[in-house]
Amino acid sequence: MNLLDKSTRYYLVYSLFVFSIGSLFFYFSIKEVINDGIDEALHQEKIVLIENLRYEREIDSLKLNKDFYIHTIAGQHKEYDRYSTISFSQDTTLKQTQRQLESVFKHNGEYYILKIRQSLQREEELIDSIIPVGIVMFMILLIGVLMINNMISVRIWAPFYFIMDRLKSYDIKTGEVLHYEKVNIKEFDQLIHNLHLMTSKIHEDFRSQKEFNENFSHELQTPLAIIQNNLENMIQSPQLQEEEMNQISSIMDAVKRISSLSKGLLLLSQIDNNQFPDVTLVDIAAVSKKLVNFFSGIIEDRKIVVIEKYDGSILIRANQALMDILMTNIISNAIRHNIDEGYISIDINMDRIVVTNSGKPLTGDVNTIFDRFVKLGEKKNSIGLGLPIVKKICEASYFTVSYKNNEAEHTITIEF
Amino acid sequence: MKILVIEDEKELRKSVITYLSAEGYLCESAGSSKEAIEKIGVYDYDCFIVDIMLPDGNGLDIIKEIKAKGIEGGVIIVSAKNSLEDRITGLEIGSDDYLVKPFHLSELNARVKSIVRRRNFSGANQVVFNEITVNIDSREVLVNDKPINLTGKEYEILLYFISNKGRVIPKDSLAEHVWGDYMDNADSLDFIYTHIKNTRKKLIDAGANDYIKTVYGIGYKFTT
Repeated sequence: MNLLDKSTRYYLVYSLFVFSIGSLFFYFSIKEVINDGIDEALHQEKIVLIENLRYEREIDSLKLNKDFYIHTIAGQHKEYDRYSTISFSQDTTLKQTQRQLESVFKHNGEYYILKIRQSLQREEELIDSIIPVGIVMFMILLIGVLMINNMISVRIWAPFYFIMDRLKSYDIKTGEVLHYEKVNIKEFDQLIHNLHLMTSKIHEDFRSQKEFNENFSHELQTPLAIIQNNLENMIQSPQLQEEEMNQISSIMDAVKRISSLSKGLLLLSQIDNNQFPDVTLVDIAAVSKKLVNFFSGIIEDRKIVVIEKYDGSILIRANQALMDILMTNIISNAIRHNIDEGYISIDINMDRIVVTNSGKPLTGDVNTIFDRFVKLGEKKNSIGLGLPIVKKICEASYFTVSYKNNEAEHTITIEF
Repeated sequence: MKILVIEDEKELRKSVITYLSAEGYLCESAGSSKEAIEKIGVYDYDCFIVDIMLPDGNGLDIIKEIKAKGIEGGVIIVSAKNSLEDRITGLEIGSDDYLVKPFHLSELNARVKSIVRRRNFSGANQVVFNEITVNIDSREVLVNDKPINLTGKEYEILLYFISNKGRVIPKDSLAEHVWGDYMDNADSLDFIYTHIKNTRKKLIDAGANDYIKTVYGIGYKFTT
């Protein structure tokens, strides 16, 4: 339920309440007014009748219609006027309501009882018509409220929905700040202003974070270079003992790991920051062939059979450097996680790349294979950024990548 | 052979000079852009190793200065940034090579040798080590004047070994030299072992001495 529906609902419940109470009140007050009017008329009739009694000797001559009843009563009586509404049925279907004045009065020393009636049928019709009128008015109000709300939502709330759309498509990476001209509605202008401040802040934070990552990565390289170079000078010494060599070797491995990590993370952030913008037609089959040739030594040595299947030249629109890294990672992975005398199948066509390799079953959660620092294989030295880089490149190039394993067979599929 | 190392980081400068001096080069250093420009104006150098980010200026400006003065020496850029832009700019203004920190001293040494070779060769551009002769232009290797058949990577490995002969070469250094960046550590080390094994076997089979020695835990050494 949106905001307008919610407020409309409250309005309508309130209107319904006011209309029901109002109609009832109206009904009774109209009835009251009408009865007063009729009573006044009956009273006038009585006065006229008493006037007439002076001239007429016979009461019977005064009985002009059936709604009229008068005769004398013997003895002493108290004079009164009583107005009432009576209903009776002439037959079974038609019910008639009449207003009656019953009056006892003294005239020329004699007591008379008088009953005058007047039909209420027309008045009742009038009252009855109030209810449909109320309903119709309520319907008109309902339609009006809905139409006005619709208009409000289209016109007045337009900036709000515009902002919502902008927020939905807001991408922190593009570093764009939300801009929108003033609409002269205080709340919206405030919202826009605050969003502007907020996105500026987010953008600024993101930018400084990004800058920090890159600077950190770069600043790390110099101390690493100092360690690495001093170690390299150190190992030239002929006096080193085996124990010392072992220690130096561990330090070198650790330095290498830090260096690879920071390079990998830097590459990931560079892809994120769109620092590989040049898109050309890349022959992915050629890249793959080149890599198979590049790795031919190790492939032969481990007696791995490589089955290549290319649908001619496969030209796709992508960044050359990223495609090189992508294919290097996939093919070197397929070799590394292979078994001796295993196989690799590379199948590339215009729609997709499928690389399948034999290997050992994975241990651990296969769904995390594209996450950073996840190492599911047995190799200890891996830094765990190979597949995350593959995934990042695929995201940046609008490809989809998926992994499937079937016991000892692993398949990476990339769809363009 | 005189080399000027322009690097503001003292420890890095020292280690580079230590390594290259052991190769028989005469090394001098400059810790700032100003000092570098002064030295370039007074002495002659055959090779410059230039850090791009200096506290008082950009290394690229020094290279422009070197080229403007018509100095013949080779230039190797050293940078903490693996920036394609800097690499291209560097090559455009006349530098010969680009190394990203952290680099291996053996790699730097091989690059210096390669530049010196390129600049000094007269007639045949070749490297001779005892019974092994490497023809750089044709990428041909002869053992006792008989050609042997090495793959591209085996050739790279042999040349790298000869450039760093007598030095202990860390295995990472070899791996990076042959496989470049963007290669997972574990892969490159596994892979390099195979290539070295094959290279060594081919050399021995062709009648060369067994120069390639494994240095326990650390790497390899091409013994002299």
